[in-house]
Amino acid sequence: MRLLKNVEGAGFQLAQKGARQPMTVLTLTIDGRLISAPEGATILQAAREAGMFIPTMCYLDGLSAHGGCRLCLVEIERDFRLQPACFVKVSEGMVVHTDTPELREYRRILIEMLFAEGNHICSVCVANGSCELQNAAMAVGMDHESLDYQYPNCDVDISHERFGIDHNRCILCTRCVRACDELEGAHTLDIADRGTDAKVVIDMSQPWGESQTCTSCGKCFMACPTGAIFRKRSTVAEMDHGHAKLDYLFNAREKQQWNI
Amino acid sequence: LQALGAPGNAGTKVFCLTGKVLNTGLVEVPLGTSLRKIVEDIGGGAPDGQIKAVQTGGPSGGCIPAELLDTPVDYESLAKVGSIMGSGGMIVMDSSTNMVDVARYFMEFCKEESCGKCIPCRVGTVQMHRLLLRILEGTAGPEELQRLEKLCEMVRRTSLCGLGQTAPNPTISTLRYFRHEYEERLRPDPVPQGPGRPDLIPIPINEQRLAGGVWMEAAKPR
Repeated sequence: MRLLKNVEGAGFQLAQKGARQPMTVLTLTIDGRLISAPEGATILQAAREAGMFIPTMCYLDGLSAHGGCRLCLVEIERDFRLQPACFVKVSEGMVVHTDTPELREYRRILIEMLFAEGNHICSVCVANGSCELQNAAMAVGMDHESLDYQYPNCDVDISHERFGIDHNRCILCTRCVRACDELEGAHTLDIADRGTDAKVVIDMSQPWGESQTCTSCGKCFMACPTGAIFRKRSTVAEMDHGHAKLDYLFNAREKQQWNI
Repeated sequence: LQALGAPGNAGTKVFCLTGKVLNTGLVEVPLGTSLRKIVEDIGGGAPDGQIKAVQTGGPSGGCIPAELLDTPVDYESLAKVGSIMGSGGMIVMDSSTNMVDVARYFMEFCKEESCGKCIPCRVGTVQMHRLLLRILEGTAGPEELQRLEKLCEMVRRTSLCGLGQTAPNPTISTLRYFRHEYEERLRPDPVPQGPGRPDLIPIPINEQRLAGGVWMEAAKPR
């Protein structure tokens, strides 16, 4: 019973239906370590709760899972496909490998792909030093770019009074889109077009400053992993996304948990 | 209907036979019919010259070389030779077809069709298309070919949906059966060897200083 209590208090984001009922605890093996997790938790949540690191990019606590970045792909025994840890729910007796040589190589190529796709020049970026793409590149050991830079022709929208969006630095993780839709309820931001042409747009692809739906809440800025959405008139030293605020908002609203 | 077809692959299947064959169009055959029968008997063979390969399953499928024309057309046999039933497309290629260009064509299609949600498909198809273009141009070396193979495997394994997972298939299968066509197009001599390269300036190296560890000093021109 004590174990159940601990798990319940650990802050898992579960469906609230029947949250008061005792949860079923499942045991699984991640990288050779036996861990327990409540039924309904994802592999990523179980691993994080156990203090294990699985790299992510499009996942952010407080937002729904997206599964687009593929960084959290893990190998599950008796499953021939790689599965995203942010989506797959734990099951009893599951054996998961999160750090095989194959996965490590794929993660490095994924990060190289992001750097090749955009125009990421850290030295002139406001997020330099507080950028998740930069951190991920270091974490996966990317020491050079083996792919061709695509040098896309992107624009920058600074028509909004408080925030700006630089599409050169956007990695299309859609965290801003989900934050705007799920937490703010405005759904000002969305993705237009597809493939390489896909980009984040404001309302019906209009200048941000002319948006009728934007509430200027800044949750898109809080969600952004890179310097794509930035606060105007703030320097590199002042750059603090405050990603955790979104999770705080989510927990306060959905679970009535007001402690940080 | 159960009586038709092969064990485990009952019934018939409609194929769209096209490319370098006399009789193009839609054909309905019992599953398990050999590829040769469809292409040579029903299709009438290539109008001029040899059949070189048949691409089955559309842009996500694979190229089956002429040596394997006796493969029965059922799900398992096609998978064994590295292709799929897929959309039921059947494109016949003769000896005039450039297999690298075939791979490039299908990669271009997948690049256009990618939705952009996941990174490996959105960026991988663009990168693989570029590498294929460079191989066609003759500006790629063995390292580019190696990188292409690595990307094919990575995109196939990590993509979110079927489009990305199968986008490298034409490239993988043409590399498997027509690797020489890729290798023929590689840059002839990657690094010009020996003296006589005018853009290189010879810098005399003082061996004694080098041995002493002062390597910057040693490389100074005198």
